[in-house]
Amino acid sequence: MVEMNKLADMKIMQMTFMILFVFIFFTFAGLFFLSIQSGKIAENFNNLQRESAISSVETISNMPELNCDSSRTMCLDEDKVITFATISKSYKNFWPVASIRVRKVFPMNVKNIRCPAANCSYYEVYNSNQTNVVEYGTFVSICKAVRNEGVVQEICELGRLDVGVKISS
Amino acid sequence: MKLNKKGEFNFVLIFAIVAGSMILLLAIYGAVKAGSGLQKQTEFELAKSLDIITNPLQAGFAEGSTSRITFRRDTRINNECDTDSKFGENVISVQTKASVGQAWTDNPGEYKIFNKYLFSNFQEGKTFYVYSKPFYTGYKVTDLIFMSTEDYCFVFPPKEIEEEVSGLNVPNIGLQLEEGNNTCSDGAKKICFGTSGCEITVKGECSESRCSSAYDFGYITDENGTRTYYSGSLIYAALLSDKNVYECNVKRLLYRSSRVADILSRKIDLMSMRGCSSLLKTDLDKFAIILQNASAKDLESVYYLANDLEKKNLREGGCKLW
Repeated sequence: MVEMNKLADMKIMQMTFMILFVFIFFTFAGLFFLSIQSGKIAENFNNLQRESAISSVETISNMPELNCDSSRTMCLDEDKVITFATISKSYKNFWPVASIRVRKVFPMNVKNIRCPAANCSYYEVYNSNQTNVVEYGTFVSICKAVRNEGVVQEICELGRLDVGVKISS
Repeated sequence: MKLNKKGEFNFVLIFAIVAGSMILLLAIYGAVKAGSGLQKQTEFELAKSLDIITNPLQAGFAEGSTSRITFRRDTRINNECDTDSKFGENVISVQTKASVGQAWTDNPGEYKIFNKYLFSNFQEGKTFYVYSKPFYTGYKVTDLIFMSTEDYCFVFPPKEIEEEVSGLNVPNIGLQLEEGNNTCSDGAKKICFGTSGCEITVKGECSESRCSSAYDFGYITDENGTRTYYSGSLIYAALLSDKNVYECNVKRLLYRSSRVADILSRKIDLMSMRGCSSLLKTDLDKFAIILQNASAKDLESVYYLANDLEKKNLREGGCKLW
């Protein structure tokens, strides 16, 4: 009788360990699946952010707050850029981006001076001060109207519009 | 002894069945939860993708553009609008039809779009037609984006709308013309221009000499008798979206326009330092103040003010602001 009980105990122990093993196996399998999924979420997030930044570059350069006029693309109005840089904080959350910077490329200025200032080289249009920001950019014209000896001329420089997006580390 | 063996066997069997079914239930529960989590993730990604896909539709210098978005599964797109923040936002939620279990997820993830003006109803389908038209208040403010799955039939539209629709080449908007041409599909929602007998009626109210067409602004009346005021390209916005979404987006648009007017006014100060002065500063400042709290009911006065601004800007010659 005692031997039989021992055998029964053994079988119950065997079964318990088996069930425990199966449970642990499924738990690890689940954790493995979740870690792959969370990796994919981060990857998808970064891809979407990248796509968003790239497609935003053209959209931002064509926004009426910055562009030369609606009949031209990839052209920034320097007066609007100067003005907008001072009020861009009120546009917080409006952009799907973390930063917007306009750099003068040609004529080239070696010094890295923030505009507006004499011989400046870049405009900090918007900066949300986020970390882990990757920038994507495109070349644009930076133009302004000047009256010279009674004649109105449009003076343009070559610039680069850089748009930054936050990516997950 | 036999009894003991039977009892022992029963206990082992019952223990295995109970523990086994618990593990099975736990696994099924986990799988369902993970599945719905994945579906929500996909739906959120779709909502974000909608934002990205519609970026090129912000047409730049084009007078409009058309696109089509096709989903692999039946999809519901809900568009809401609110003006809680200064610039307001469109809140998009996407639901995809699941092939097993509950067809549509509860509480779909919401994605906020701040820099676009999306006009649409609650819609379900696989193919969504998306098109855009620029919106001007003298100067260009932005591009309006319209999205629909439903078929529409414009009955006897005025020449300019007929040309616009033909030019846009929107597959789900047909035209029934007075000359007898009819490109409307069966079951399309009918929209009458000036005539009656349709689900929706458009009435042009612009009768002054300053108007280029009677339909520059007017009313849209639906089968419930709801009247919605429109102006310019907002005619499509009013036709293709809920009254709430429309009026909320119009408020957002007018606020955005006021910000652009403010930037243009500040631009005058910088231009005048280079000998390019402008007489528009006072007008723009007033216009910005009017637009700041304007809504759909103010569209008629905004239309006239915008027309005057546009004409004045053209007179500025080389120093024009836009």
